[in-house]
Amino acid sequence: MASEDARYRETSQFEAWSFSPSQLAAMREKTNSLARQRITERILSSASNPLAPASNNTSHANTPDPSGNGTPNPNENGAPTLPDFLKPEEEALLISFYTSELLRAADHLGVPDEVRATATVFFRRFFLTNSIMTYPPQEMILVALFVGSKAEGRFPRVVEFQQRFNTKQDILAGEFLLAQGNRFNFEVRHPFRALMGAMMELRSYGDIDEQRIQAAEKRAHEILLSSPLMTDAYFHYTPSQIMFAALSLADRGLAERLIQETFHFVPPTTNSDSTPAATPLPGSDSLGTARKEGGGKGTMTNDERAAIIGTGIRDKVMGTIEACRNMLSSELPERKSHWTSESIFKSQIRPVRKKLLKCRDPDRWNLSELQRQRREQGLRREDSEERAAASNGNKDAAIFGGDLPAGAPEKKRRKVGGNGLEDPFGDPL
Amino acid sequence: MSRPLDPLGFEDEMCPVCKSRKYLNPDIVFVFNPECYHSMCLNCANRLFNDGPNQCPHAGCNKTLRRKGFRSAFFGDLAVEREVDIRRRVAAVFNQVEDDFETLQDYNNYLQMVEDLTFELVNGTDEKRRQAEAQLQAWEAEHKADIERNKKAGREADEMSRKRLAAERDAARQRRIEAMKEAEEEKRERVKNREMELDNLAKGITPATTEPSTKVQLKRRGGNRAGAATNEPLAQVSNLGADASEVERFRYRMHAGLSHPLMEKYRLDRQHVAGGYSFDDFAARALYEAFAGLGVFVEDEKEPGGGASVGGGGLSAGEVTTMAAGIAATGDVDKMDLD
Amino acid sequence: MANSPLVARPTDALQPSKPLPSSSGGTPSGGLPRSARGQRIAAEARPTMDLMEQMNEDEKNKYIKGKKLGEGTYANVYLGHSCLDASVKVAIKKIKVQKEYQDGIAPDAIREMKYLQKLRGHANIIILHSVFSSKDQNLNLVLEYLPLGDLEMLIRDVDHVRYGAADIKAWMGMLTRAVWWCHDNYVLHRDIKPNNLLIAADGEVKLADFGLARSFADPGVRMTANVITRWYRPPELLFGARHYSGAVDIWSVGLVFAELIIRAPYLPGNSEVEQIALICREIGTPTEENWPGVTQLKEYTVPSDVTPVAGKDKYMGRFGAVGSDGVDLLAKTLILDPRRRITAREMLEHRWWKADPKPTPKYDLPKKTAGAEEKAAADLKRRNGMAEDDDVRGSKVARKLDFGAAR
Repeated sequence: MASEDARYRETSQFEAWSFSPSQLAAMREKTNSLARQRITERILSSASNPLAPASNNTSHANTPDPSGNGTPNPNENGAPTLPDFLKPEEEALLISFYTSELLRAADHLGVPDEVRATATVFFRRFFLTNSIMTYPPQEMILVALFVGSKAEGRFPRVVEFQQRFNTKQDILAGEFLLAQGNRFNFEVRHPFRALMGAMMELRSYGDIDEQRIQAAEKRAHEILLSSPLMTDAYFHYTPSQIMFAALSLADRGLAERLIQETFHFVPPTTNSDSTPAATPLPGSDSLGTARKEGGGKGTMTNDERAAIIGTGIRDKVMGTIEACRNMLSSELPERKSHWTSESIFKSQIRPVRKKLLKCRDPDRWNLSELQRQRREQGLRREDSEERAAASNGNKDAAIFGGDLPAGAPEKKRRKVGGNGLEDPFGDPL
Repeated sequence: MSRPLDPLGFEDEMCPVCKSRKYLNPDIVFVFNPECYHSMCLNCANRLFNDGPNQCPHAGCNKTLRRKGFRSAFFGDLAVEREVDIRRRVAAVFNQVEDDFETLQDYNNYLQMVEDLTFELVNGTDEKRRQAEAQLQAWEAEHKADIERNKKAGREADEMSRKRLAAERDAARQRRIEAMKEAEEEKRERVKNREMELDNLAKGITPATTEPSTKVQLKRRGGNRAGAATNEPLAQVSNLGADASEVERFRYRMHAGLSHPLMEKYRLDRQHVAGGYSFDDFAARALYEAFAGLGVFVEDEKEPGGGASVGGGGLSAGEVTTMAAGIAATGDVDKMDLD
Repeated sequence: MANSPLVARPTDALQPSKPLPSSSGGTPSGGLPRSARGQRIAAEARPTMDLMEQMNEDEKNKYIKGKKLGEGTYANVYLGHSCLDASVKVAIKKIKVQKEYQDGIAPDAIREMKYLQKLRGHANIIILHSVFSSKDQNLNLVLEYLPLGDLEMLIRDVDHVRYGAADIKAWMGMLTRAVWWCHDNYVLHRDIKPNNLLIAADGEVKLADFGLARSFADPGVRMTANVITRWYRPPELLFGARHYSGAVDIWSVGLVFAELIIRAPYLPGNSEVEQIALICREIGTPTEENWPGVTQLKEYTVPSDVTPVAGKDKYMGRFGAVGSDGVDLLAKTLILDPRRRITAREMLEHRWWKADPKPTPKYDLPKKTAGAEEKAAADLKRRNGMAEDDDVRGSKVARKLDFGAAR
């Protein structure tokens, strides 16, 4: 039984990026704990290997610095102190803050709605599978806008971006990461066009004041530009539901009217029915239009039809819309002032940011450096991989697979010397 | 600073005339004359032949050589150089392609004949060689027209592919330029719009007051519709082998009266009209997006034992080690979930 | 215990001579004595991966990469198979970093990934199974393996491949359905041509190469007119239209239809001007009468001698092999005014499909074998939107021995 819903279920948005609230929480917990684990390993490893530089660039700014003086000093005691890691709630707080910053950046750029929304979704998805202790959210904002643009068919130049924001940030350094963190799913569905569709439909009833329709659209549109993006709405609801929720906030009556008109089908008998559905019921004629007879195939059973447009499912839909509406209410457009307020920043955001600076991932925080290392490493690996593949030809997983972040520790080991991976021609240029 | 290695020993080559070698004379350059494929260093060649034709200095070779005949070799081994020259000459005459032959066998026979001829020219005794040359000449004279034609065809094919590539590159460049122009234009548009808005504000014109005409239009249209139910159902797709991906729209119907200010703004715009832009497509899409997924309940369908979730795998709340692990566990090879 | 199952994976043991990290795995407490840490190292030979990295690893490990099928400037293509089932073959397209585009991931790569994934699930669209990144931050697209070449090969191989009206009908059916699916999902392909129609082992034709695709535009949003290979480009694009519809793809479909019949490109223009001239000559000159508004398009120019729109007899003469119904359908795809041109959906409802001869079942369709695998690899590896002509006559002739020429 194909329907509009069936096709939505096949999108990557539904398959890979929709979760129940508990699943979402579990993922964030996991991400947080993995990051803590890894950073801990890193700190401990750099402490026990005193000859190697803590990170592979000359500045020590990236090294987590619990004690406050440069690289952890292994001479003091056997194990260095570990920093205070961020808790999941603190991560969530910063994500909200940075999302707000991203929206402001989008305003500044003046990008179309879809670019703004896609960029934000990319950003939030990225920080679902990655912790903000691992990658710098401030930088990922521009990266998200950049990749979001591309995903929506507009291909900006890096230089333009840098000029608009007056920055020298190497935006490309994070591009691949962002794409990867989004599992290379570039299509994001939004509620903007859906809103227009809803307005068209309402307008076609012929008995609603045009002013009311336009006012509702304006407010609903305004809501859609920020509320779903500042919350987890995209993870828990479909664009259609989000649109209805926003419409409901703007003008409850209109949303209800639309739902009523859509979910009107009552099967002729009360029992489970597999008789072919009959032609439309008189109820829908009150408007003078015999609309919404349902699809044409005619071989659909009453049960099936009821599942799509029946009164039973109507209540469930309304319940979902109500829940989404509540979620959006927590971040109405007016809340922007909260996130941009000086006092909130000082009291809530800044302390967490300070904490973040001390527990960052030393290997990954510098995106440019990370990209450079990986590229080099990849080239070297490729050579050996080609040679090995030629000789044994198959299970590349052993060569192709393996860890991604090995770059830093490996390089460090080479400098220290004596490990069989020593490169007779010296370090790569 | 070291010299590159010389694994094939070419640096041992010695000019037969002056006996110098590259080892002692690093700037030495060797040339040869295709009359006899004997080589010597450039200095000697100049010295011996600048004043006119002379005999080749190699022992036993009494060919008369001229200075202008000398050239430098591409290959280190002159035997190879000679063979390549011969093959080039032969190929210029025997330039037929597989398409020129009725059957594959014919083509292979042709190739065999050419190879045999070449072999004679390269390795044959003097007598054989003369015969082969004669054969070559004869063939050339006989097939002059064909040879010309094939040469031309070859050139044309090259032209075509080169042009195609150039065209693609051009198109790509055009697109890039356009995108830049696009960005420019849009910037200008935006600036213009902003200025216009500011002007309007200054003059006290607010958006609401500029709408009356469109508002009236729409109302009229709405008024008409109440009575005239035009229900153009989307026609059925014929069974071209039953396209299973056909999706029915159940929650709404497309009808002629759908309208939106954005559509009305451009409906009569000549660029849209002449380009074939479809407003019906836009309306259909908007309606579709309004209702698609309305009945999909994420929380239900994503929890285990939930509804008809497709390909999401049975992810349970506590078991989120990785999403991919969940998908891999289904073992469904065809559902390679890139998503 | 916080020790994540992610860290200890059996394949770690396969890493030959991998230097052991001096870090410990596991607990953040840091209180373990060194010897205990050392013992754990053997099992947990690498640092913890976050979810993103883990998912990528899992994706990558689903496939085993095999021999290289082709190498090009745009991408390398490798044969591969699923790690669970060796008979499920895939083509792994590894996209190389391009020098010309310096702003990160190239537009066509993004479009391919986005639209192939969006349109997944139709029999006539090439399947993108997965995307993962390799160590050196290169994109790997895991595609359906289609070893039997493309439609262009079949069309051009006049000597060895014979096909008839029933075959053409079958192929056109597949192409039409593919295009219908794209448009039903509000996607424009914008590069339909025989080169981009790949053939599966079971004979099914698949539309590939979405490097120029894009979603339908909202009213007012401008698109570029510089799409679709020139010979298959519709007049509205040649005239510079910035707002257009799926009709542009339909025109291309019509040109492919024609080419299937006459086994040569129908309108092979050498320049845009010539392309317009050919259209005018063969189909008819676009005028305000037959296409209201056309003269307003920015790049509207036509030769001064106006040719009237061709009638059915003209088409029957050249394309009669597909019968009167077939010609009718063809003519409708080549209607000059894009608003009146037939749509994909309407094409599917045309009477030609039901007329005799019935379309050949896909397993019985003609296939090319020799050289097909190389061509398929070449199709995949070339930059989207460009064609490498491997059958160029010139390459078989003297050029082979022309060592003096620059390469």
